[in-house]
Amino acid sequence: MKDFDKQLERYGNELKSARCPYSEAELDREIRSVVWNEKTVPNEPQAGCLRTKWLWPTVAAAACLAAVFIPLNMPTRADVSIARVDVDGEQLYFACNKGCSPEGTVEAFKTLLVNCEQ
Amino acid sequence: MELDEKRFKDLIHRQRDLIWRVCSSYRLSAAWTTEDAFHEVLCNLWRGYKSFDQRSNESTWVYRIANNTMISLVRKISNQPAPPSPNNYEQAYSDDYRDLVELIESTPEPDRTIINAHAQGYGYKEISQITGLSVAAVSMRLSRALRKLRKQYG
Repeated sequence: MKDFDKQLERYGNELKSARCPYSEAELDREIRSVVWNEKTVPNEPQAGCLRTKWLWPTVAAAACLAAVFIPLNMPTRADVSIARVDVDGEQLYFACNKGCSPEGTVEAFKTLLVNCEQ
Repeated sequence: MELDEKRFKDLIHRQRDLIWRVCSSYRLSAAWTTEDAFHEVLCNLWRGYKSFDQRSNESTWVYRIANNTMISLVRKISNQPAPPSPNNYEQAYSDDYRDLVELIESTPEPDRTIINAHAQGYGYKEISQITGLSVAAVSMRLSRALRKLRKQYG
């Protein structure tokens, strides 16, 4: 026979047992990105920020941004409004209006590169 | 580092598990990971931080912002395919337990939030702060939602 109360208690215990998997350093980086981006980009698009993951093979040497674009976890999106760069260059965050495609993100990224080089 | 940033950082470190818990309690879409949702919640917490009254209950404030963020995300991406259950889900959980989880996941808001908070041990007053409903409304909704769940569960 099904025991509702027992399963509900188990459900609550499962919820409570969830733990954030980030290390201290990873969490600090997440927080720093959020704070830095919000201060740097005051006109925040309504949809909020989309976390994207990138690789920068030459970023350390060039002190600028290059080359390999890896759009992970990206749904189909139509427009990128503002590019955001993490302070340590390891990850980029892009603010998007109601969706941006990987192609649109690349274009915004290229613009950012040009501005950076100037 | 400015004082606000320092306090915000400390707050996130204190509440990291709570934020993760709220994020992971919603199944989004295959394109959105819990990490993405976590980041989105951090953005909203930072935006709301300046208006946060330091004397009020920190964890219920965080819970409310995180939960509202997740509800908005779910609405925004509801037309995208849901992620598959984890590979070990079928083996790890009994049919009885899975039945209950599916029932809770299909419960409309704000009742789902109320049930989740109640299951984790939050009291009426705290749930009221999380949902923005009155204590009386929380009590009534919880009682009704549990009765309905119990009936559906069989």
